Amino acid sequence: MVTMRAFGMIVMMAAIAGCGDNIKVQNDAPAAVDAPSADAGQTPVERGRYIMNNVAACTFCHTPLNPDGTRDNTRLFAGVDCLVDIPPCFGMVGCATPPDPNDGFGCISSRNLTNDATGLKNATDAQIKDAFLNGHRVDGKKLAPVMPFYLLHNMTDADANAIVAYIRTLTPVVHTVPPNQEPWATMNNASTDSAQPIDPATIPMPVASFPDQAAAMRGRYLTSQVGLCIDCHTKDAMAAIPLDTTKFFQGGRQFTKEQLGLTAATYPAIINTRNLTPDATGLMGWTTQQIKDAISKGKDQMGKAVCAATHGGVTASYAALTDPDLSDITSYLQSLAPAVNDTSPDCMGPAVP
Amino acid sequence: MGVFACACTAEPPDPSLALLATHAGVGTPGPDTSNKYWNVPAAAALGKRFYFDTDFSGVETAADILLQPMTTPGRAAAGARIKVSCNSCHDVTMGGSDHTSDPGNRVSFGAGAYDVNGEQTINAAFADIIYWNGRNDTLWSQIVAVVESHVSVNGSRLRVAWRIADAYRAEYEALFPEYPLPPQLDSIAAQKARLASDGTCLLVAGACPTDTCTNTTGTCLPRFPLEGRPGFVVPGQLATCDRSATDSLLQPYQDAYDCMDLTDQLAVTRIYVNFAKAIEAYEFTLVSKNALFDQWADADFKPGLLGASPERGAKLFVGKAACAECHKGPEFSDWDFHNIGVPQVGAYVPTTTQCHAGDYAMGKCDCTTDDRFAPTNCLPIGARDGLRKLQANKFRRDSVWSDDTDCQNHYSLHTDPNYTAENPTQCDGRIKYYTKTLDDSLRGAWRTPSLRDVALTAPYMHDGMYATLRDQMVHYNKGGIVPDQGGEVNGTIDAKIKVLNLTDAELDDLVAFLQTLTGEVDPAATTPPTVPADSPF
Repeated sequence: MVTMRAFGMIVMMAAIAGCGDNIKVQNDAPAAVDAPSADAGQTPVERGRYIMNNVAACTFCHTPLNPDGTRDNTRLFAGVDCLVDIPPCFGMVGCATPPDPNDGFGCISSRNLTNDATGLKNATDAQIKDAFLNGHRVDGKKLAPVMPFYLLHNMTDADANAIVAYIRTLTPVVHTVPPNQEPWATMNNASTDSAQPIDPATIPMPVASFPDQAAAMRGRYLTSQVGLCIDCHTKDAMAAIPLDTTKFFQGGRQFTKEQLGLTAATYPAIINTRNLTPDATGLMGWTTQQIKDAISKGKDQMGKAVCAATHGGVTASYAALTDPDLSDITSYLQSLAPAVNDTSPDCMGPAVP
Repeated sequence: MGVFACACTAEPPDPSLALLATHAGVGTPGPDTSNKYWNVPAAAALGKRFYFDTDFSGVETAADILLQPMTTPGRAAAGARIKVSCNSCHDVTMGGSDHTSDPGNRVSFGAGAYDVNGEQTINAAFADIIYWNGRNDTLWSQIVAVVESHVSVNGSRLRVAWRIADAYRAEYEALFPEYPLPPQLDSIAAQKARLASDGTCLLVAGACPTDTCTNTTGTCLPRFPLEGRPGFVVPGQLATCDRSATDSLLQPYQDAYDCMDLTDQLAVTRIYVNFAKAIEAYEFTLVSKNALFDQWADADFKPGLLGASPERGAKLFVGKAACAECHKGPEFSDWDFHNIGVPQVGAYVPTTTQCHAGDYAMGKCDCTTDDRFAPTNCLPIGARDGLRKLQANKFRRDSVWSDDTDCQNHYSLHTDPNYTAENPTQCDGRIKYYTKTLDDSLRGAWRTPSLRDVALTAPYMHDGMYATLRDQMVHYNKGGIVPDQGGEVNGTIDAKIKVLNLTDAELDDLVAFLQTLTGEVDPAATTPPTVPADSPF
């Protein structure tokens, strides 16, 4: 019998998200909205495309990769079979068993979002939004908190509608994703939601002394409500809210190198995400351009590759963030109160051109 | 003594006749689950017109398969239209084979020089795996490859889409109602009126007209340029839009396709795949049957019907010469790969020494790097290269372009040898190739061709090194070792290839037998169709 606490451990060690006991029915109160990003006259479809491919980078989990590591654009948003696999010993650090796709345990797949009957073609707009905002699957089951609905819950209605508008334009791909294995299946079948949305009031505000409050607030929205920076750069928690809400943006979440797609022996087995606050253990001393390069090009202060596949490389989603959005995100990170959290050693890859 | 031996009991049946009977009677090819139009008459009719249409072809590249300049004249002056159709090099009245190439060069010429001789399209629908090296698992994916090949048709998927919109709209839309032509594909004349001489869109009231054009790249470009195909990309790298790219074989049409929005790329590729599927449907009607050999078999191998020499040849074929070891069944092929010791020989036939480490990054070939998912185009090693390409092929039966939804649904499991072994019938049985171990037995191995109509398909072997059936028979008689021809033999010759010790007369008998395999194709399938006048590209 797998306990809920074990679930939390599984999820934490799978380094995707946390969940835990005392899970409550999520709060249906309307999301508090900060300043949404300026949209420069985009149509809803264009805005949705930008969010799903670049800001929230939904494509990172929902589009399969080619064997050569590039994204399979013929299957854009068609779902990934066994996106995450964890071994039966729950993937705890030091667990001897490597994930085995044939062990009947631990595989969770991402859904087919395309405009096909095996995707979301027959789902209503309301059903689609209820999935990515509230964690309620179209078939009435619950999403596991691998899907960060607890963050996306806080996006604006306009952005949520833009996402739906874009999903309706996705080229249909026939792909029935396989059912999830345990422990995920139990979460899917539970009567309660797998996680509670983050209260947007708990997301740090820019320090009062920061000069461009408007830019920082736009960055706050991009990093935490429609984008997912806050997810990986905050320590996870075994709680109803699967992030440590007292340590937002302080880094220290742990990923195994396999989870980041890093195979070379030169990478450490466990990689800590970086403290993004302007502390000496964080981004103090980084120039604005260096921060922007780290986000969009995966290039750290030393000119080396950061270890997250979301930044840089052939699948980098953030490379196409607009410069105004990159500036706003950088402003927000620079506006955070410094917090001490030494996440060293930094994981460094090869030099980035 | 002689009298004693006969008349009392019937002679024991000749065992070779039972073996020959296994070759009799050509069936009906199919089904092809990956192409739901494979047996739709309207698809075959439209595909036939495509097959005979020269307006899909591009210009002479005067380059060989390794992008080197050709040293002999090609079909046309470099840069001039080659005006070929499928039928130009796969003549359906001549075994579906190439009768146009320069015999001195043995290989086939399209817009440039191939590294191999063209294969037959007649009876190709029976094949389990396509092309000399097995790089494709459907005829339609083979068509997708050759129509954009710089040594073959040198066309482009955008040209195909515009040609269809311009000249075949009604037929296309009737056949493929699920895939309507995008409204931007109205007519070539209308599109040309929208474009400046450099291919960019004319502005309308000072703005980029966003219905037919796109500003995504910062330049106002047509959503559907008149020509364009994917540029060359090294596996593991991203296709990028480079408007400054010089028009070249690696980045043709100044990167026009790569600069399109993804959705439009997928739409135009869908039209291109449908074009190929219609041609495949036509190729399913190209069946050669009722050869003299079949008539002989129907007559229970009545002595004398075939003629003395061919009948002796037939028995040698299944006996001493052991041809039937690989040339099995009614198709006279096991559709498998064998190294029979044919060297890479000829001006345009590459050797491994021409394929250096790092050359692939320049679009050439590399026989030193060996990565299953990043095929480096080591052409000289045959199936060892072709099946590696199949294992990374993006137009496979399990791709989004296929109609085999079961195969497509399980694509992510097609790298797992346990899964493919447990599901041998999935993907019309082609699943076995997806995880086939790429060992050295495939090095220098090429797919066994059918011998139906073989008398019409000279020259012989993958690189066309033998001009006549008699010459290639000598090759087998010597046990596959041909030191006098030069060239490079790769890998290890199959143990089935042995010195045969056939006499000259026996070789003649075998050739005489092979000449009885020429069949008949339904004239309705081979009569040239009417083809629309060229479009105003």
